[in-house]
Amino acid sequence: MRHVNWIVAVALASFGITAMAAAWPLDFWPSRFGPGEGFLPVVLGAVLAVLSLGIALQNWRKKNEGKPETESLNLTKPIRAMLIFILYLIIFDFIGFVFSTAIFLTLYIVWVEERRLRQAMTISLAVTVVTYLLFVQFLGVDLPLGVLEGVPEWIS
Amino acid sequence: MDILSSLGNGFATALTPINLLLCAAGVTSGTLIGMLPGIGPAAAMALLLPFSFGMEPASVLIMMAGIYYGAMYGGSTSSILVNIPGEAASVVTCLDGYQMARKGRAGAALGISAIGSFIAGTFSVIGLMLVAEPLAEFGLRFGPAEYFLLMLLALMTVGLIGGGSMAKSLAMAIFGVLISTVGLDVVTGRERLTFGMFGLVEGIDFIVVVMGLFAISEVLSLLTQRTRQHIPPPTRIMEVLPNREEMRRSVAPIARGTILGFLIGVLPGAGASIASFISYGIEKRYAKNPELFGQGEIEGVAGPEAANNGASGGALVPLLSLGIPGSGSAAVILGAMILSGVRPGPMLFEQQSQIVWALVASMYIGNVLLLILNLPLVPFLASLVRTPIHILLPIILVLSVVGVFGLHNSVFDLWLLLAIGISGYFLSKAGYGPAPTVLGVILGPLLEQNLRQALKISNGSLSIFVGSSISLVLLSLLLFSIGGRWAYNRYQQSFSKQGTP
Repeated sequence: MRHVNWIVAVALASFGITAMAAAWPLDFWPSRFGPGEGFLPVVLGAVLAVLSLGIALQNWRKKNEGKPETESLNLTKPIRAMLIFILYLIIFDFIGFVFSTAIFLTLYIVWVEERRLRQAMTISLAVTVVTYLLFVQFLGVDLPLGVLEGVPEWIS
Repeated sequence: MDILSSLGNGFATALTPINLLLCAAGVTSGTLIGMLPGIGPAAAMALLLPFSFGMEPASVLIMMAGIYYGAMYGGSTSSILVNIPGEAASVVTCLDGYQMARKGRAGAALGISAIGSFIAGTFSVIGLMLVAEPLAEFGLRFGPAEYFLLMLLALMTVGLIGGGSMAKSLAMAIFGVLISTVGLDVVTGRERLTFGMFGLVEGIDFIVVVMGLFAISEVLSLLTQRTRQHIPPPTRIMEVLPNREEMRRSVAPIARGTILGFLIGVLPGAGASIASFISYGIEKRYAKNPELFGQGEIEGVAGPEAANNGASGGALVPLLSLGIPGSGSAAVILGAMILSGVRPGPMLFEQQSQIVWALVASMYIGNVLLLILNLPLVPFLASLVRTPIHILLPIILVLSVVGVFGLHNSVFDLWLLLAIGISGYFLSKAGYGPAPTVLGVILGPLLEQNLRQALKISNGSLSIFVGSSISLVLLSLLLFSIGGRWAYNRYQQSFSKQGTP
């Protein structure tokens, strides 16, 4: 866990430095009338970098002082969930909300939660239909139809 | 007496059967829609506004008031039950409300949210009635320098609410403000921190950040737990609602939150989000055991929820007396008023008093209906927490995708959601709370805008930030909060070194 602390602190510092570098070409204080668009990103990027490096240093010192960390992360399920989620995002626009959601939910419940296929398909169907009716039909949220594009309104 | 007789006339208008029905429909639909992630009170009112076409002006406003309160309560409900804030002002409720739900006290959190909202909403309406004009004039004295300092003060208080170290909380707040700078600069139109990606030109919507840091991150966190937490069902119905001890502990936070929320709500643009964050910071400061905040403390729900609803009445003060909406929701109400032929402003109370007082009366009624309709639903809503997690987690992911995609119809936003969610998971594992980042994203644009405006007015001179009594007070509060926290930390460190219990 302390490794995570240290890595996150360094990552935040890197983000701060990157923001500074990216905003450096912009106007910092172009006239006497006040700061330009580069002012805030540069200043905040610098502050974030310094603050995060300070936190990283603090973590480094604690590493050499306290007890070793015992908690370990069980990442099997999160990794599976994110892989399926990535697949969901890839197919979301191509095959549309309805089918992609149904596939995502089924795969998730079977592979991540290790449930039976029949249960997964039942839940998947119910959730997809309810979500579609609520967001698309009732609230008018524009979700991609994908392969249902062009199908007459009364079917879709 | 004049106010009372006007209010009486307002009630006479608002208490007709059709208007009561419209208010009840507004409260119910607002609550249900407000629970949906990404759809806050403003969006809920905008979605339901077309249903009001053809109605009498008073009826339109009565329905809008019902939706307004309902949506705010709905946003808090999803914060407590599934850690997805329905809107910006409900973000803070996630911190302790969701933890209460995980301990089997979802009903208590929902109940206190409803009760606190009712009390704060009622008192804020009284405040609206009595002090609308002088408070609106006070609000006008806030210039860019004062607004900048107020935003900075709100960001500084995250050092108290972020959980973990103050340094980490400040880092997250700065991170949030940096995220808010991504996109086109509103003044010069130049791209900032887009790294050549077209999807970032419009900036990063705060809903994407909220969904990623709260919903996605929480799903990942729950998936890493080796054992799933079992929430035992209550054996008696009264166990679902707040008990006497919880009610007693909530009295002071609700009182403080109400006043704070109303005063902050009066400031145009400040709004309920800031009020709820500052309220949380204050409650943590007043708490006997501040280290327990973030683990399910009732005060962490009661105060912010009261501040949230207190700000709702306050936001209508500048709207009704000056025609300036104090928040996004107030802006939708302004739109509804204009569509109905009602023009808010200094002459509104004189020229169309019947409609104004009908609106004020309907806010009382909306508050009461909120309590009557939603409190009995608390046991049912609390039972949703016991939805099997293998069903709940994928539903949260789907709702996050729909909520984010519905913003701009952008698949790029979905990839951002994923990236922010994974980052948020590791950030939380390292002790960086998500709330300061969200506050930074919300306040960042206002902070920068007011800073640049203030310095333009003063020709680049920093003296503008000490030029008025209001800015001096705000600056003093800022320095006091930083200094006070530093001194407290030193005190705690010296205590722990001495080994004193």
